[in-house]
Amino acid sequence: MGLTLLFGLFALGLFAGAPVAFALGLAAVACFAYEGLPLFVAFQRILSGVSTFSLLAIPFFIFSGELMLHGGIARRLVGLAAAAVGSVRGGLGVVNVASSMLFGGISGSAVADTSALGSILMPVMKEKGYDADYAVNVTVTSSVAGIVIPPSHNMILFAVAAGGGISVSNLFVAGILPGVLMCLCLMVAAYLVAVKRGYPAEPFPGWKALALRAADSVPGLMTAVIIVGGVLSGVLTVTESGAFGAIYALVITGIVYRELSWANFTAAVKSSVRTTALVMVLVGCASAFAWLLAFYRVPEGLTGLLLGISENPIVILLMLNVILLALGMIMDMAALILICTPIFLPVAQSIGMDPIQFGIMMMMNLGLGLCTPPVGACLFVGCVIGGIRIDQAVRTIWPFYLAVFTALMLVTYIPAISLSLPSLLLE
Amino acid sequence: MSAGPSHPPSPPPGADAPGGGAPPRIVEDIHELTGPKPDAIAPPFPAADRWMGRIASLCMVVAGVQMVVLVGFMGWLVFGRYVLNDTPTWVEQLSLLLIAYITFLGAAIGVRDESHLSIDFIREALPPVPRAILRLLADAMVIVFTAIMAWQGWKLVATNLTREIPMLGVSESWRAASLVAFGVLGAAFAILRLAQRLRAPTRSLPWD
Repeated sequence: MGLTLLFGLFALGLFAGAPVAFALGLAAVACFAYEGLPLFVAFQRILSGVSTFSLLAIPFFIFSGELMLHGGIARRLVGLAAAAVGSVRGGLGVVNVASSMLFGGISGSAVADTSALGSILMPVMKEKGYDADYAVNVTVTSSVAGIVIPPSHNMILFAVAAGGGISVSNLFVAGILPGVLMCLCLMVAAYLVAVKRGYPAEPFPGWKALALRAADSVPGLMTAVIIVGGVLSGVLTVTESGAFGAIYALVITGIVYRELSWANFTAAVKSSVRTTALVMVLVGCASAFAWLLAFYRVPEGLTGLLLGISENPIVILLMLNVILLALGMIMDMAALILICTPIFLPVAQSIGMDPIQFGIMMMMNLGLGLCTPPVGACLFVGCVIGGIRIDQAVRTIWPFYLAVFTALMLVTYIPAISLSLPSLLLE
Repeated sequence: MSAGPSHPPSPPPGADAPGGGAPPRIVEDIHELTGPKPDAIAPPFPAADRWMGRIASLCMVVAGVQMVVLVGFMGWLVFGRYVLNDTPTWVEQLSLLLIAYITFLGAAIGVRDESHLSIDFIREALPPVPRAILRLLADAMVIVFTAIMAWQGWKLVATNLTREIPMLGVSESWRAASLVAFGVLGAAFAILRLAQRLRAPTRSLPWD
């Protein structure tokens, strides 16, 4: 009965369109009351969920990303990618993916990636004869790379939701190969569609121009290197390197690039406060919710249920992917990481999957969900910037979904893609 | 060569950086995503709405300053540890206190701006009457949750008066007070939203 109340009230809140965090919190509070547990314990959990040292990295990552977004880094990275890979057929499609690979690593947010790179690249692509649906599709799907390529605040959410036993350094390193693999798959899709539609190639600007743009982009790219390098070297904690990255981003955008006006700075601060609050309040409420999931032994029940359907790991992994993809289609990423990790991670571990590999697989699933209707933040933003309807984009997006899905299947069934780099570099 | 449409050569994107080129847009700037619905009415109770707006702006200023201070303090921690060889031990605890206020003040602003993550595509696709019922229900749930938070948060304030936050020498109640701040502000913002909605339940408001 308690479990029915927990999920029933949560579902009612979601259906009514109440904020996901408050639906989680209210359902948890109602269950505390039903079980006769003191209510203030629920709020103590919410408060302690927020006041966790490792989570302090999240506002710093968000702040760095916002500074980069407002401070001129995105345009430089597009310039670099255009010079490097623009000369292949359908060059701007490939440039788009390459830009996401570079920018995504810094911003760590797929939606920021879509809006920043889409608004720079889509007008140019359309001007050069690329169809709007192609421009939207390639921008939206390649933005998923930002979630997997470090540093990504979603990785920290996963590490916290998994109970704190997973090293963020390992997760960061583990995301590199899957992120690059996903981008390669998307580049192939972008190239093949471009050839089929007869899109042009860009002229190669010459090695000197390439070197100049690389030099111009290096200070911005160093933000990601500093954050990831600080963590991997063990010199700084995740939180410290996040703060250091934010200060560095402030110096680069404000003093070196001179593009961070006071208005841009305050916009970056406000945006960081908003995003941080939305994510952290979700973390707090999900922490109370997760405590009840453990109280009602939901993970054990679900593991038994799935193992009852099949004991074949291949089938179970496929089921996990389908469930995560379906949930990702209707719900936002941060909320799903916090809710699904304590439920599904034990299932994955029961069939011998490494928690790090599971984390990467989950990020890719939920990232793909950001590009699918009915609820897909990246798809919505991409369509608005591209000036087309969602159904127009979705009609021709399949080659790109297929590319991400191919990468997802490879990551799901070949553990080495996620795990070889961490064991090589960190052990 | 390309079989596609021919175009005069033009510099590749980003070639003119820095300076020219399309500036990156941020999601808040995209009017098509944030603009009001066609059936939206002007917000009722404009005077109260303005006051709540001012309070939310004040919260944003406080939380924004805290965010910048947080970055500065953590930078100081790294500097102290590696350059001065003297780790400021109070930074960690103070940062945890600050993040509680940034989170809960920001969450209250989110109630006012209706910017919390939610799934409203089903509700918004319904006819006006069931849609209105669900919108009222959602507002009511926010009020109930924030009101309970204010009440229980106050209990935590009262029970933690004598417990100190390590290294800071201030009471743990200060941390719990962030819950009360969010509860009170969030409830006030949500009550105004509900009152505004009740004026014309089947119509939309600008933030829907």
